Amino acid sequence: MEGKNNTFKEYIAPVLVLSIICLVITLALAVTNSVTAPVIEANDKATADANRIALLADADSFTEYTGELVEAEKAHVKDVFTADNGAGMVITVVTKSFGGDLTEMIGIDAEGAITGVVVTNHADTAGLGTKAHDPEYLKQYIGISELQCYAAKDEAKAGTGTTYVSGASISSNGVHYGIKVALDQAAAVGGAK
Amino acid sequence: MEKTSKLSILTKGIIKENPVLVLLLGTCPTLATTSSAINGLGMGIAATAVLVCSNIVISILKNIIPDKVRIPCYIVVIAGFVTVVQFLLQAFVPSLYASLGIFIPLIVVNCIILGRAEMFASKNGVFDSALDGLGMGIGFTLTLGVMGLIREIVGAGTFFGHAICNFMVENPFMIIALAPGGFFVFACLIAVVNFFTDGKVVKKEFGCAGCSMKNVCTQDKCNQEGAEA
Repeated sequence: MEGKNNTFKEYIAPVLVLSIICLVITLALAVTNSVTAPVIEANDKATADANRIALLADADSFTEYTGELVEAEKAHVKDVFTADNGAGMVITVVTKSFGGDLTEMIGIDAEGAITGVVVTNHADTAGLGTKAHDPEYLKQYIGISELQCYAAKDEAKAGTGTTYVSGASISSNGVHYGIKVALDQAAAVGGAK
Repeated sequence: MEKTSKLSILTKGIIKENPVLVLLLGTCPTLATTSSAINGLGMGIAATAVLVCSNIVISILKNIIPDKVRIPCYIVVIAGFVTVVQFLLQAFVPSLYASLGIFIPLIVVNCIILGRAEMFASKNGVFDSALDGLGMGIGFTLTLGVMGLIREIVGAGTFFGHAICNFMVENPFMIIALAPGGFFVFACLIAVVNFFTDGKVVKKEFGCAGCSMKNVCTQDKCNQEGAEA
């Protein structure tokens, strides 16, 4: 009898208790997820919609582009939304930066010129890498319709008129690379239609 | 364990047994999230919520959880609460969620939370454990807030995101906002706490009695054998 009791205490009870705790926690997480998931989804959509309107002010509404999306070595296009009135498109690109993945949205008008850039998600160093996400820094890309290089430093030397943040060259490159890929995507889409 | 008053349990985490500045636990999130005051406070509040909830649950379950699987059980409970906090922040405070980033899921392995579960909640009643979690959480939050504020003012020239003066914003002492500055401010705060608590802090929970390996430790036996030899 005592042997059976020991087996239960030694082997069965620990497994049983841990399993029950896991089940209860999983249930609690499922309930929390069911409450928060719709709010998170709505937040993400609202933020993305607001960014699209801010980047392409002339657009009335947007439709998602369903064609092929550009994939480069260090970046890929996540989605493309074209303006229904032909004002242009807004492209979301995920690129590599200093802290890991960086997501940015790039507005491009009907002539293929950049109307604005905004970084929506990143893991770069606050106060250093984030200087390359600053709206004042990103303004330099507005009006540009063609970039020659994938690296921000090379582009600055090429004389396109863009610069890079000294001391945050990897973050600058990440942002620049994503913009170049967005322009490639815009060319592949063939302008706003 | 010596009987202590409820007020003492609540307040010991603020200075006397401050988890960051006296016990030196949770250094990684402390250094990483205090680049601004709001980030530090946000991290502190999130960790406090997890600390209080996990202390309560672990205290309730302390007689049910077998000794062999206590650490996995604690981790599951803590991870569960951290994920709940993560979902709530992502849904209702997305800006703070974006700022804290990877450090929210890393609360799971925060030494303070696991440490209090092992040292206090697993040996004390529910109310005392909740007070301990709250006190330690307040100590953690205050430390992160003060550290974040110092680093933000000196390193960026702002106070909770608002510019203090143009000169400080245009000429910030940037290194304080970066990793080396984090270590420097951390060391300064430890020095200040040591100055005020010098000789008054008795780390009684860190002797053999407070050790989690007490049941399996053979130190006494080794000492005896050493003496005999």
